Amino acid sequence: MKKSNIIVRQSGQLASLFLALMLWGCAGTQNKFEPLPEAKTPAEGKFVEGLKAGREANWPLAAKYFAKSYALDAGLISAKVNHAISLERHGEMKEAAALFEAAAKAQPENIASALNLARVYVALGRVGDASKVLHPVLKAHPDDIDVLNTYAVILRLDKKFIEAINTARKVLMKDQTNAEATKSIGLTYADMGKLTLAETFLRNALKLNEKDASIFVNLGLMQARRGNEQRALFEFEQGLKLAPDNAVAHANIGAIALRWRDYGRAAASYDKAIKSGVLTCDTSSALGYALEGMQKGKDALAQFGRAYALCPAEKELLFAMGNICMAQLRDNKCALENFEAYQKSKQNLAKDHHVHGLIDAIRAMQAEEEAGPVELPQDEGAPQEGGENEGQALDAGPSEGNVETVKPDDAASSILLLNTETRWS
Amino acid sequence: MVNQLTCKAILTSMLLSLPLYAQASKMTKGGGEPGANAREERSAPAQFDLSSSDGVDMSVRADRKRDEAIAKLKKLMGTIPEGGQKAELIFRLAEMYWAKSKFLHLRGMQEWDEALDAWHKRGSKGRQPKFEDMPELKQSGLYRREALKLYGKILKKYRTYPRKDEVLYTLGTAHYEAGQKKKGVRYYWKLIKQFPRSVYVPDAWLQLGEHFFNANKLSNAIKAYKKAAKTKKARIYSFALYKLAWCDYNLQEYGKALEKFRQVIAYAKKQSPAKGKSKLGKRDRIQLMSESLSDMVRTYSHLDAVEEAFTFYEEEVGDKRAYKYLHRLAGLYNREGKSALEIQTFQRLNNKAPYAGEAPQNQTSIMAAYARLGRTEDVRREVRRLIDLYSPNGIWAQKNSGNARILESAFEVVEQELASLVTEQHRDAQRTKDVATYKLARDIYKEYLDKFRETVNSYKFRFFYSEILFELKQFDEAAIQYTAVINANKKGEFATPSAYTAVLALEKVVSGVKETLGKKIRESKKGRSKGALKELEKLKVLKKGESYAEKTLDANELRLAEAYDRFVEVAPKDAEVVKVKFKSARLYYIHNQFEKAAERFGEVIDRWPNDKLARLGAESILQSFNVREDWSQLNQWSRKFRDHKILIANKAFKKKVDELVEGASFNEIHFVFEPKASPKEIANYYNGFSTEFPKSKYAMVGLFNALINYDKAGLLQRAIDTSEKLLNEYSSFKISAAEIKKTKKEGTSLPEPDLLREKTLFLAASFYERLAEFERAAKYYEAYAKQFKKGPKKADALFNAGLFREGLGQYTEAILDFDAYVREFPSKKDVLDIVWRIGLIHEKQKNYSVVIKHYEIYKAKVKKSDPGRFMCAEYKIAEAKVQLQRADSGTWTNLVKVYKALPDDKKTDACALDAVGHASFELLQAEYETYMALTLTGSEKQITKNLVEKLKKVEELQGHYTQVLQLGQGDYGIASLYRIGRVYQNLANELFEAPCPSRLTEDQCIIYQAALQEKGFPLEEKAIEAYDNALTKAYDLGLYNDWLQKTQEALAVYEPGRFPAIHKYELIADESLFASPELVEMR
Repeated sequence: MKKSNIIVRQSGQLASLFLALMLWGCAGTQNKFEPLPEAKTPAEGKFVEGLKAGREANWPLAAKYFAKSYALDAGLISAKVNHAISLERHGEMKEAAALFEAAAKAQPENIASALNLARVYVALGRVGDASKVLHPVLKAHPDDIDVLNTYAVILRLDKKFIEAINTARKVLMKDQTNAEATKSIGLTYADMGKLTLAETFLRNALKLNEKDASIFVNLGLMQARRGNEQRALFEFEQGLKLAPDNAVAHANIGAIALRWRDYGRAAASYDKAIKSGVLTCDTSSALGYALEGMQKGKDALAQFGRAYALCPAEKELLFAMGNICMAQLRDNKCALENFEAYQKSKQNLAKDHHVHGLIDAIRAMQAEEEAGPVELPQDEGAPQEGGENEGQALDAGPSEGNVETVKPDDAASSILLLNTETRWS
Repeated sequence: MVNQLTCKAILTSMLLSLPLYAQASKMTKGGGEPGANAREERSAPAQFDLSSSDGVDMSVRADRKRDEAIAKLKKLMGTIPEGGQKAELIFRLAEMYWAKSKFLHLRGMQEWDEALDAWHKRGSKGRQPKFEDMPELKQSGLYRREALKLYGKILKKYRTYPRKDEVLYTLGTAHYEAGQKKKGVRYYWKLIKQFPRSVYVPDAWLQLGEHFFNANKLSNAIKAYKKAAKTKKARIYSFALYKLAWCDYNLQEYGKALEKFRQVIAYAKKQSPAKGKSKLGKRDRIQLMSESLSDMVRTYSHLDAVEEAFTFYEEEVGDKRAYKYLHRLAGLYNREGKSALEIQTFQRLNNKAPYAGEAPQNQTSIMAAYARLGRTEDVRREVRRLIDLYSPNGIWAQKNSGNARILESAFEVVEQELASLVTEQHRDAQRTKDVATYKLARDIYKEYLDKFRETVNSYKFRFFYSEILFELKQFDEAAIQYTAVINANKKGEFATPSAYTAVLALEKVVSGVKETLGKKIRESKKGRSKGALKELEKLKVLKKGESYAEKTLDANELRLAEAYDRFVEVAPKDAEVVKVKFKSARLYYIHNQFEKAAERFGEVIDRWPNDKLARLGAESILQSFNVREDWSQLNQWSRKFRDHKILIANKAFKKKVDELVEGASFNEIHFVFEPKASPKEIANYYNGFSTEFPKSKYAMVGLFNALINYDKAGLLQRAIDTSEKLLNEYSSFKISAAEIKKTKKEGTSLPEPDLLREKTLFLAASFYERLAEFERAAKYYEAYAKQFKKGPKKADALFNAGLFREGLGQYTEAILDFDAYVREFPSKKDVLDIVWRIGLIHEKQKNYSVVIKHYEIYKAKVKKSDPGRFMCAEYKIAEAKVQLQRADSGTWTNLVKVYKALPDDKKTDACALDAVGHASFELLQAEYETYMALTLTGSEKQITKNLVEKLKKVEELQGHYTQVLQLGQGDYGIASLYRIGRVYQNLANELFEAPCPSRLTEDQCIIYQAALQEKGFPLEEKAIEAYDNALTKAYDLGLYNDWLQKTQEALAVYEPGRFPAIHKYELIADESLFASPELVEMR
């Protein structure tokens, strides 16, 4: 039996939140059509440059400018804040966290500081720390709705479901139309496995605001958790009717389609998700995989390249690029470069990891090419050299133990075998 | 050597100035202005300082020099032999001593001055310093005695001393000043006799003249003055002449005296430096003229020569200065009782200077003079004149506007006169009772009050004026004046009677009754003796439904109301004060100005709670607001009365008030607050009401309204608390039908308590539902269904309860709720859905046997009415059988049969399609398995047989599966395509893997296998095609299911590159909470 060739993203819930985190953040500054302020000092000049970069979603550049601005004028606190936000937008959570920590330390009861830090901690997977950050704020502002809502979500992530519901309930007691609290309760019930209640509650919330697309999206999530992906897609589509640019809906449709190898739909959905302002590691890489599935090697390679530029920590993308080069673009040089980069990036790579074999196989092929063509006995049905058959089996893609590995010794025999059996469409 | 002239001058000045010196000192210490006092009191001639103005230096420096000179002289005298020179020395020493004595005397005076000042500053404590105590005085005496001794010595010892005349004169003056008059006179005589040509003789004569004048020996004085006047010394002459004038005056020869005074003046004028002569010093000249002019006034006062005096003075000194002298002349006429002359003089003065500051006083003097003459008419005329000319705001006042003191003084005079006049007039009127006289008195009072508003008399005069107006039936004006009296001093003597009479007057005005005036007026005493106030009239009864638009009080009514109030304010202890206040309230009440009436009734209640009018007032207040449904006012007032211990002592009133408080409170919330307040506020009001009146018939509806509004305000917790309170504390609350009927009549229409409980229970359940407290919500919905068996929302309650129970995993309870729903509401449109749902719950519970039974029942229900549902139920049964492994071909055949029997429009229902798709697919399973079981192994015969069979079945199966595909059910369509692919793939594989028959050689086997492969490849193609179709269909329909996965796996065998590893990305929730914030602005 073949092992499952399913690769699951290990970031799990946190990744989802990370995605959520990025989804709205990448929309740029609040009002990108407003004219930029006038700079009167060098520090302000840097600040304005930072704003410009932010509008173009060039967060690394924006971060640099804001840092310079603050260095020039320590009184320009907004530069420091924007520096942190830019780092966060760019996914440099640890760095952003450091800046937010300083602010929160100075004013532990300050709501904005606490929420900023909590948010980043969640993105870093430090749910417990996020919860602790909110404790003093809750004590000082026990009735603040934003704090309560945030705390409720953190409790849910921390699997303290009853507490989460009770916290969100406090919000509803003050404002029964509060959408965030309503969703929070619904999602908490969903996490508890009480999907019927979750769905019931969310549908009730829909009565309060029938134009809230997010409720449909969350209903779709409920369905997906029940295993009813068909129904989930329906709900996502309902959400998109209300809000065609709802990036979560697009991303979720893309995820489902990708699971089912509906690459065309997956590519289209992720493309829309990205165009809705979400350019994250997940969406970028997912789009790459969708394009790969559509056999659009060039586009896939470019997409993986963008994803890697965005998320240089995602070394698997190097392997994916290597694969594309080899399998679809027939570019051994490109493939070798990427495989070697991948090999180099992984310090504790298993000895039997198939990248080693691939590298050896490509080198061997390159050596052969340099040596010249080899005369092979003419057999009926014997395949021609340099055919397009090579590497077909390798398109299974990398996976940590989920995919059959191709050992270097087996490479040649595999190729021969494939040549006899494989059909090209 | 001391200059002789200087010595003489010193001596002369000492001698002659001593009297003045002494007199001046007396005057100074006596207090007041010397000049002024001397002027007013003087009936004697003025004193002149006839000494030379090149006088003695009384400075300390000079005194030091003097001391040095005395020391030198003393020393010298010891050395000089007896003789003329020594006499000279002695004389000079005597002069020094005399000067020293004078100096010390002056010093003593100064020191006494200072000591007195210091004593005064200490508050006049201790012994008053006396001049006699001053050490300088004693010393001064010593030096004087020494001087006299030396002078005496000269006379005795140096008989031929050439300056003996001077010595004699000095001795004479010294003794005279020392009080030794005889001795002094003697020395003067000696001088005159012994030295008739001495330059001192005129002085001696003058001094003798003074002596005789002072002794009233006028003939001697005249002789002496005449002798003195013969001198050519200007000062002596002029003074002698002046004194001769006085002699004439004293001899009452006033004409002669006048003449002489004129001569003195003329002489003094001649001595003016402007005329080139200056024998007389400036000071002396001016003083002489001034004194003479003054003394002439006195002289004129003895003569009836007003015109002459005017002429003289005006010519002599000009109009302005003449005024002062003539004014004094008039004063003197007054003192001498010469009234006619006084009048003449003052009148002339006033005519000459009508705007002079003294004019009013002059006029007063004229009036008084006429009065002394008994000329009443003249007095009156002059009084009139006084008032007309010298009142405030007159021309005279304007002309003198810069001099406040004069004005004040004048007005004071005028005021006093006018006051006297009016008082007199009023007395006359009272005496004569004459209307005309009263009118005159009225007019003068008016005049006085117009001119003098704030004097001591104004207050009482205004009152008297008011009284007269009242007596003259001028009630309107009388009221105005009485009011002014009150306003001037609310605690004054006339405040109370004024307040009372003002009310009386205005009641007459408002009543419109005209009263005629008689010929005589009998002035009544102040206050009640003028009449009684009108009786208190009844208040009208107000009726609900009628209009009570506010009517304006006319001006007089307004005044009357104010007068009532004022009376109460001024005379709070008056016996009628309650009645008056009530009248005030009533006045507003009858004009439908209920708020103002209430204020006043309220005051009656507050201040006189025990008076019967207090309760009447309270009832009027309540009635007025109740009838007009002014709930706010009614609430406010009824609460006030509720807290009033005295009012509520009356039980009937208390009961009424309690009812009104409750009703008004509720109605105020309902009618006044609700339309404009926020839901939260409205809720709080109702809640507060129910807390305050927990037993009120409105309490429950109050709570209900509160919870509704809390809900609207989004305050769920409060809404819950309130609903809990209503349900728990009012679980058995009742209102009688009669009460409900009554409220309907009243317009409030109270609902039945049961109705409120019913609504509340359902709402409470919905509140919990909104808070996701599904357990509690379910409990409340179930409670509702149990308590209110015929409740309008029972169906919803049961459904919701069932839904939540199901969601909570409490399936048994859920089924019970749904069952109840189905049982009790069989005609509901969704009943069948509910029954279906129950079936789904059984499925969740995996009670498949129950599921089958359930759906069998369901089938029975819908067989005739809803074939579509029937179909679905059959399908459910089939699925349950599958779970129980009881499904067989009959199960699926039945489904297909049922499907075929469906009407066409039902055949496309999702459920029907699912059922028929599934059933059709399942029905092919046996065939498929049979096909798949056929292998191309075994004997050649077997292989051939199987191959033929397989080939046949391939076609059949493809056809059959195509039929399933054509049913249009997505999942089984894909499954069918997959099967088709599998069938072909299977056949191809069998061909590819078929072993060679044993009878074939190796070469034949190769050919054999090649031939098989050739056959097999097209079959593979078909398999792939079928798989592709399945894939395409799945993607087109967006159907992702297990069949799609199988298809992908199958295709991956042929096209592995087409199916890379699946990358799973987690689905994410749509939560904006963790969105990164936007970049912040620069500042």
